[in-house]
Amino acid sequence: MLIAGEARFDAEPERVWAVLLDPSIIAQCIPGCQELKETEPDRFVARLKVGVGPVSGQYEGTLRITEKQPTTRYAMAFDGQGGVGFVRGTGSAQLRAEGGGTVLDYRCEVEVGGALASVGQRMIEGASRFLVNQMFDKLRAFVARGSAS
Amino acid sequence: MGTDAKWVGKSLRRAEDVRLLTGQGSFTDDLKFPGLFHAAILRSPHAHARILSVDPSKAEAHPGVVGVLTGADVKRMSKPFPAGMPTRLRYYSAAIDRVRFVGEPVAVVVATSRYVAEDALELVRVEYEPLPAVVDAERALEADAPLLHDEVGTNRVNHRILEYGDVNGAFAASDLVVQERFYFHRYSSTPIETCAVVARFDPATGVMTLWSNFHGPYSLHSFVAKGLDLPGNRLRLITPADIGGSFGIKIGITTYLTLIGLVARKLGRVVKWVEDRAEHLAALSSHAERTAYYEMAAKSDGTILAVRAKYIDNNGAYIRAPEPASLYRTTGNTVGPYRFAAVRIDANAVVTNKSPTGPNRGYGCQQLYFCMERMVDLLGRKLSLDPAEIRLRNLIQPDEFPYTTPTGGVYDSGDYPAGLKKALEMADYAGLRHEQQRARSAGRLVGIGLAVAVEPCVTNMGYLNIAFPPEQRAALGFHVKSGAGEVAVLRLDPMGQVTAIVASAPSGQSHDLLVAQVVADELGVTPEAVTVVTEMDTSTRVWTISTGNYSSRFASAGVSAFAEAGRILKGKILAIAGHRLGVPASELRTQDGRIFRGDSSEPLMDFREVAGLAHWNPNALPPGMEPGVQVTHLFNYAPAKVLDEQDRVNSSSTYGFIAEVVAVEVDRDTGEVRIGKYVSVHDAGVLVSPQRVEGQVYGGILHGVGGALYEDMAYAENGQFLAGSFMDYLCPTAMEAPRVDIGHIVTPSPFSTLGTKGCGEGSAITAPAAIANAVNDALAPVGVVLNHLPLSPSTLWHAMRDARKKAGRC
Repeated sequence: MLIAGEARFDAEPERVWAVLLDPSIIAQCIPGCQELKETEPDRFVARLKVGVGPVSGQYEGTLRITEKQPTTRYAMAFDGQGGVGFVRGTGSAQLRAEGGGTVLDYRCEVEVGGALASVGQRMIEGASRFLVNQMFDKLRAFVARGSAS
Repeated sequence: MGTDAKWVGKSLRRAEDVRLLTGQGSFTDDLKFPGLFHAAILRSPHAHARILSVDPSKAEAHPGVVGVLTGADVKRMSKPFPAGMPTRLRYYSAAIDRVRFVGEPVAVVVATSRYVAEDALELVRVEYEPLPAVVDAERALEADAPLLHDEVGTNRVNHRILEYGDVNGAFAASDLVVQERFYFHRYSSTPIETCAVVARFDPATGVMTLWSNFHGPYSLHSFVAKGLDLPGNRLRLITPADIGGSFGIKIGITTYLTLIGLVARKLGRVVKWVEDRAEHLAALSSHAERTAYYEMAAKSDGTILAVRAKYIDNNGAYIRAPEPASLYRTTGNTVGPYRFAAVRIDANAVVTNKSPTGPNRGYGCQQLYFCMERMVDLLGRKLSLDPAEIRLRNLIQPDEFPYTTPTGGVYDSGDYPAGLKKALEMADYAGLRHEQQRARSAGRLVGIGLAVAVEPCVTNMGYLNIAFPPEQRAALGFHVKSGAGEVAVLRLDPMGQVTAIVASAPSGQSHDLLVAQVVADELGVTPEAVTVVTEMDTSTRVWTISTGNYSSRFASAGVSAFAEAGRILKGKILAIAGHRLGVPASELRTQDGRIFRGDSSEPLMDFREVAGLAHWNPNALPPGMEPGVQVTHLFNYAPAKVLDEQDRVNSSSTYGFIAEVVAVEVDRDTGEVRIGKYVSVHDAGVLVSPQRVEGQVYGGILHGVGGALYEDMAYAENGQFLAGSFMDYLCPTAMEAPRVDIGHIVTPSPFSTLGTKGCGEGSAITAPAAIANAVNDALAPVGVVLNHLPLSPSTLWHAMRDARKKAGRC
């Protein structure tokens, strides 16, 4: 499954970049994130509680930043497992300045398994979009807070 | 027949309806046990992965959890299941070090409630290393495909080439050969009640008692015992009076009987597990999907000479008994209702990363007849012969019975041309064709489809041996099988009342009603006066290796056993009465529970006096007669013989006939199929309860309609299961149920006691073929040919669009 789109921020790429790579902020922005811990540089373990349609559960997983070009691009690989299935995939984000703000293009290739796939498959794309939008709303709030200060 | 049938043939009211409709049924989940604990099963989310570690410690520490069973326990406590074929494949009730399908059990958590058990599942830590998966059987046969079982070395786990008659000669002598590839997809049954098991192990006696909705075949008792590593006499299987449907699917419960038994034994608790619907869909069973390559040789007048076919059955991740029998169960009736004399079958059982397969209403027949009936239509189209005409030219004739097929089947009785003609007449076939012409000229896509089939009933255990090549069968100590039996227990209690005890574990087919009717006729009592006990218990009931509720066997094997038991019991009643009265027993008769001499209407004794005497005063019995009035009778079909050296076998004991005519219309814009007419004619021999037969026909048609048009156990290419709920797995509802016109012809079977046959699988084996033929007929004007299922709107829509593009009219 491919999840792709763009998000707009009212701040310059440098500021957006700083927010996006701050684990303490990211932890507050990922819906259902209970813990995000950096175990070594660019390597995180996470605990999440998420529901997709009738399938809700806890997931534990790892996230690796696989590529980093400050203020313009980064890529990651993630892998999570929970009682109701697993999620794994890769994602990338591209940042560019536009009209005084920043446009972020994102692209995620996601594979799901278990009950998530067998029951949630038809809902998962819609649910993912919803969760991704929720996350960007929160990120925008952090970016705005930072720009204001 | 020889029966003065007063009750057989009548549609009496089902005794169980009152019980079921007022919530008084007795299903496995209704059973109450003191000190009961509840199990939940952790299942693999991966289609194929190595298990690196399983850590149940957090789950075990969770409040309310009493323990966890893992693959390591399973390996230590049990033995791999026996297989009905030569193989090194090892199959356990849970994954040991590798998972091979999504939904495969990995661990069992037992707790004070199901809620707690399910919560604790998330605390079991399993580390997986994903492996590449394969879901397509033909892909699985390629050299570079992921290998499922290293110890086997190939994904093709069983292979036989079976040749009957002069196949090459027939092809050489033919005027034309039709070739085609078919794909029969994977679907299941959806019984209202899912699987349920309660297990208790008594360490003092070493006896494992398992209450469940297992309904046989009881040949699988030894399969479960082996899995549990127990001697057969230490395994007690109990089935309550009510089972909420199965259609063969619940035969897959055997691995859960083992798994829940193991956890009960490990923890020393009484443990219950009830399958939820998601588990049922993802991991229980379905029939094997089949990819098939067919060649049919024929003369230009439409006479079929021979068939060459390659079956590639996708059996999922493991071969669970009775698989790979979907390849072989139809051996005796491979030619269907047709007269051709030469057949070659290249049979392949293939393992893939899908859930394991098994019997599903028709067991092998739905795949066989879908291909065969499509082939006959394709041949007819090539020769410009009407589908009815080409079938009539090839049917076995009524004066040829009993008819021995080239593959060893012995068709007991039939009048196939009369059956097909009756269906054509009921459907007003000529009128339908006329209407079709008019509809076509108006641009509508209307089609008419036919299917004819021989319905095999009462499996002969002998066919199971085909999975072994002849050289292995010749070896000393090889377990040669044959037979198709059922047992009847009948008795008069001391008050003269009749009790019948059934070992067949019915799942909604009213075996009790049939028994009451048959026994009433034989003994001269009313059906209401007969009490029928249907609970099954392998430790206290008498049963045979082929006992059970499968293969459309009760109306013929079970009814025969009870008819004969009734005759024996009546003989004993009359012998006692004759001895007492000083009258030759041959001059006595029974009626309404009383005994009369000749035509006299003056009763001389009643059953109560006979029974009282036999129970209370054995001294007054005829010399040498044992006390009491009871009969245990085992009926066995004489024609259920062993497989011969040329792989010929009479794989069933009695053979019914089905002829169907279906009219459909396809919506050009949406690809949706609407069934306008459905005519179904059956020969099930003598009907004991016509209403029960009609119920089977309706149910079979709806099952087949679901398979042809809606139901699909879809998998993604990576092995993820995509049909895990009823939102994703579409069953037909009342809205999709076609109106059905049912007709019967009756050719009594010479091999069953009352001339009965079976009909439980019925139209489930013909509906996919008839509907596919109708849809292809409808789509012929737009140049679409579809030889794969399901015929979903998107499939049809895409096929029509592609045909338009090809024709350059897009």
